[in-house]
Amino acid sequence: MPKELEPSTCEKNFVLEALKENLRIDGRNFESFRELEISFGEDYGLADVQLGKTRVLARVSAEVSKPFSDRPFDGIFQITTELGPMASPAFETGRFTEQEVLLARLIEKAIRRSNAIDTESLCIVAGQKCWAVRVDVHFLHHDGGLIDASCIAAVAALQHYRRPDVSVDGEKVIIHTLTERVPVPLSILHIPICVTYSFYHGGEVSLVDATLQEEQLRDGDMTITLNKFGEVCQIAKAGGLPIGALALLQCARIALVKVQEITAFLQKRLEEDSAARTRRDNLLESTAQNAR
Amino acid sequence: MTTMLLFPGDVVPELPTPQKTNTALKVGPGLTYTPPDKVVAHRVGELHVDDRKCAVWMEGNGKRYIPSLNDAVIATVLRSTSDSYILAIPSSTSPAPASIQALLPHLAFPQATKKTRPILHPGCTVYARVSLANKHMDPELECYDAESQKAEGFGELKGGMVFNVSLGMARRLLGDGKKIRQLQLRARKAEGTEAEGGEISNGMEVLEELGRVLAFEIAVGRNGRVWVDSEDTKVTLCVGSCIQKSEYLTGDEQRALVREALRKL
Amino acid sequence: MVSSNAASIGFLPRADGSGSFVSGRTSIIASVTGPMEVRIRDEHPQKAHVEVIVRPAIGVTSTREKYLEARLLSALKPLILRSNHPRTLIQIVVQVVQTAGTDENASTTLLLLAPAMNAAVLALLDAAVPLKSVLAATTVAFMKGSGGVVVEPGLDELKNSASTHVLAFTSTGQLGFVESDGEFEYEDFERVVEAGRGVCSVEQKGHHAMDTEAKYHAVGELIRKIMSQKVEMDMRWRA
Repeated sequence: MPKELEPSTCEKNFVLEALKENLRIDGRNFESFRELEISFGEDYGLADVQLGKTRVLARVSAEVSKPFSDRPFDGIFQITTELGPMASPAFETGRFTEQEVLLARLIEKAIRRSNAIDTESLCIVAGQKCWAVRVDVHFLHHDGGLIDASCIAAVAALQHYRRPDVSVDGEKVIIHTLTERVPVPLSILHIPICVTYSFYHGGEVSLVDATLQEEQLRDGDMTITLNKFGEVCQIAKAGGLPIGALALLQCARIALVKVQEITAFLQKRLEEDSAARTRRDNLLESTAQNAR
Repeated sequence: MTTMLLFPGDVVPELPTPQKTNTALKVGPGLTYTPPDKVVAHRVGELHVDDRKCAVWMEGNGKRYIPSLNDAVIATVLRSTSDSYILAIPSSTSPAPASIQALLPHLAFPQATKKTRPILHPGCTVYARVSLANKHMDPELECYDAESQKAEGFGELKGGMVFNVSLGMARRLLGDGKKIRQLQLRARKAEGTEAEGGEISNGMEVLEELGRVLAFEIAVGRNGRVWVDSEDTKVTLCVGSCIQKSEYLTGDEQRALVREALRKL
Repeated sequence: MVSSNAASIGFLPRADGSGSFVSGRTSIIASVTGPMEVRIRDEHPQKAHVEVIVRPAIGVTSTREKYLEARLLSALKPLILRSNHPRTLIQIVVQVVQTAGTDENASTTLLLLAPAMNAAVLALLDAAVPLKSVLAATTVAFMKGSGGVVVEPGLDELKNSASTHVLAFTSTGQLGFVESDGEFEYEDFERVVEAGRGVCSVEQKGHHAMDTEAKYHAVGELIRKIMSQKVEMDMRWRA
C-alpha cells in the first residue's frame, strides 16, 4: 500500500520558518481552531463533524445484551475507531497501525474512562439484561486533528442519541418501539472535549488544531481533555519533545476557553436540531389529522 | 468552436473534416478512438473542436495526475540509485498519498557529466519535464528543454513553498486558458458577434494582477503543484493563497480578490 | 411512497473522487482513489486492479458487506476501461451512513445496493476514471396480490412485495446489472425492467421529464444534473 508522502524539504523549511514569524500556512492564529461544523442525521445518534477539511462521522447504536459477570449493575459502553482507506489510502483495512492504536486508546480514555456516560443507567435487570451502547467513529477525510474531531463527533452523537424506552414487568422486559413511546436520551454526566497541541522549535511554538502538514512536521504533541467545568479528564503526551510544566498550565488554560466555546456551539446545534424535529413532528401530526 | 457536454459512452457527434488531405485527426484527452470513424468520450467534460488544427479534446478537471510527454511537473526526490534519482510526482490531492514514482537519470541535466552532475538529496523539490510517458512503464524525467538542451528554468527549486491546485487550474496558470480564449474569440468572429458577450477571461488574471505589484518567483507543475518563492514569507503565502482561491473565480473576481489581499498585506 | 433522491460530489478534497447518494432514508458516501500504486499480489500486467470496500454504519464488516462488495465489483469492474491504466489500483470505498431498516435480512440489504452503486458511479465520474458508460441503479419491487410495480420502495412496501429487484442501466438504456430476491414470472420481470429503465435513463430527454412527478425518481437525470453542475463550476473562470 502506498505510504503517506513526507513533506518536501522546501515545504518543511517554509512552514517552520513561517511559524517563527508567527504565521501559519492557512492564515490562522496559533491558538485558533479551524472552522467547526456539526450536523445531525435523520436517525438519532448520527453526527457529522467537519473541522476544516477533516470530516468525521459518529454513529451511536444500542442493543440489549447481558452485562459482564464482574459488573452486574453496569451496562456496556464501547467506542470503535477504525481508520479506513476513505480518510487516506495510507490506511489499510484490518491492519492496526500505531497511530490507530494511540487514537483508539485516547478516545477511550477521554470519553469512556472519564465516565462521560453513566453506565449504571444502562442496566435493565441486574446481572441479566443491560443496554450495550456502541459508538462507531468513521473517518471520511483526514487533514489532521483526528483526535479532536472524533471526540467532538462521539460526544455530539451520544448527546443526540435516543434509545428505545423499556419497562420491566417482573421477569419480563418490554422494549417499546420509537413510535410507541418517546425514546429516552442517554444519561450523560459531563462532556469531555479534546484539544491537541503541536510543538515546534523546542517548545517555543505551540499550535492548536494542526493540519496534516503541520502534524507531519511537529516535534511533539500533547492532548488535553477537559470539560466545560474545567475538570481535566486526561492528559496524553506520548513521547516527543519534552515541555515545561508551566507551558502545560498555559496550554490547559487556553484549552479551557476552547472547550467552553466548542461545548456552547455543540449545545446550539443540538437545540437547533431538536427544534427542527419538533417542527417536523407537528407538521406530520397536522397533516395526519387533515387526512383523517 | 462549439462546446457540448459529453458523458462516458457518448459518441462525438461531428468530427472536424481535415482541410488538407494529409492532416490527420487529432484525438485529445478524455476521448477514445474506435476505428474506423467513431470517437467516444470516456469521462465527463466539455467537448472542444478546433477545425483549423483538426483536433478534438475534452476539457475537464481532475485531481489525479497521469504523466504525459513534455509536461512540466514539480516532483520530490525520494532516493538515489547508482545511475538515477527516484522521484515522486505528487498529484494535487494534498499532501499526496499514492504518488507516481518516476526516474530522473543522473545525467539528465544540462551539460552533466558523472563529475559535474547536481547532487539532489531526498526531500528536494525538482522542476522537471516528462521525457517518457507510457502506461506500461514508469515515467522518466529530464531537467533540460528538449529543443535547446538548456536548463530553461528546470532543475532543483530551492527555498520557497509548494501549494496545491487542481489539475485544471495548473493548466490555466500555464496558459492553456489563453488557447481556449483564442478559440472562443475566433468563434465569435465567425458568427459575427464580436461586439456582444464582452471580455473573455484567460483564467490567469490572478497571476497577472499579482505580478504587477509583488516580486516573486513561480513555477507551475501540470501535476497540480505550484512553487512560489519571494523575499518575504508573507508575500509567498499571499501569492499561494490567492492562486488557491482563484479556482472557481472569473477574471474580474480574481482581480478583486488580489486587490483585497494586497490591501491586507 | 415517493422517496426523494439527492446526490452530491467532490466533497472529500483528498480523495480523487467522491459521491454521495441519498434515497429515502438510505444514505451512502463513496470515494475513489486511483489509479495508484498496487500491491504486488494484485498487480495485473495489462489492466488496472479494481477494489471495492464497503464499510457498515454500525459494527464491523460482516457477510452483508462482503456480499455488497462482490455485487458492486461485478457491476463496476466491466464499466471501467481497465486497460488504460495497467499495473495500477483503483480503489472504491463505500461508507454506509444511514439505512432504511436495521433488521439484517436479504431485502433490506438489497435496498442498500442501488444507492451504493449510484454513489460509487458518481465518485468514479468525479475522479475522471475512464469509463465505458454511465451506470444508474434503482430498486423495483413487485407487489403481492395486486401485481403492481413499485419503484424505489420503502420498508413497508418491501414487506408486502413478492420480489425485489435491483437494476442498473447504462447510458444507452442497456441492462447492466440485475440482482433479484423472491419469486416471480418472466412476464413480471419484463414489467419490472421497463419501470426501472424509465427511472435510470441518462439520455437527455429535453425538459418535459423534469416537470412531472417523475423527477423524484429520475436517477439518470440526477446524475447528469450533478455532473453538468461540476463542469459548469470548473469552467466558471471563462464566464
